[in-house]
Amino acid sequence: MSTQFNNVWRCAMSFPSVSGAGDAFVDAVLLELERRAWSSKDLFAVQLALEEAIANAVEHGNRRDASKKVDVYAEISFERVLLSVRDEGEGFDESATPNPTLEENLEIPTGRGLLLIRSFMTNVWLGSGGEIFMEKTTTDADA
Amino acid sequence: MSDSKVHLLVRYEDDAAIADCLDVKLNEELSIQSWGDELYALIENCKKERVIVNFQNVKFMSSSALRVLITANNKAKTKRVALFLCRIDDNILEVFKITKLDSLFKIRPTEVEALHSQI
Repeated sequence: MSTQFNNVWRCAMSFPSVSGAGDAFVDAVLLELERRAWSSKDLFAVQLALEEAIANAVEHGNRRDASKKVDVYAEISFERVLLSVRDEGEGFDESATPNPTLEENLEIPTGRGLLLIRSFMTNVWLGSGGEIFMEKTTTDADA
Repeated sequence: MSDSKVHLLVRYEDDAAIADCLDVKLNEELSIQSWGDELYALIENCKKERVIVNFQNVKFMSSSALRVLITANNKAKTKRVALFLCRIDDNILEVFKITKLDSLFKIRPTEVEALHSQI
């Protein structure tokens, strides 16, 4: 469901933990950013972060259990986007995962999602349980 | 499970098999799996010294696609085939740089440079 108030677009959605179930939400967020003339570089960054967060929620948080839900939320203005993705898992211990950028870990195929989210978004917070909050301000606004 | 689309168009030139990625986005699970299966098969059956993957059409890539490329690179090393990547979009190249995978892969700006690079 989406609403608009004071030029801020808000959308909350819940979907089962199956592949592709979050596509409609990602598409809606990108459409709203495009409508507000966010740059293609920022669109790429937001899409990447959001898709990685949803993939982590489905795969690691809810372990692909279709009976478990992923809750997503977006708040978009002309200068800022705030996103949250929450699964039903117990949360994520970031310190327990190997640093994928170390030379000895480069050939490990997995474990890069959170690194990309942190790199492409302005601020990222891990909430209690399986929840992640991501904020990005427009590159143009930063300039 | 995989989809039924063709994801790579393969041609041969000199000592290389050149695979053009046909997808604009490499982010859907089934598509990535099929794309990976095609790439793995190309490397496994390759009679050439190098495989060049041309990303000219690709404008978006998730970390699942990186997973496929790392596995393909490991397979290429085992098979003693040189795997080159070329024509990578600037946004996607940033993903390779952030993850430091630009130091793992042989990335070249153009297909010609990939064809003529030393193995």
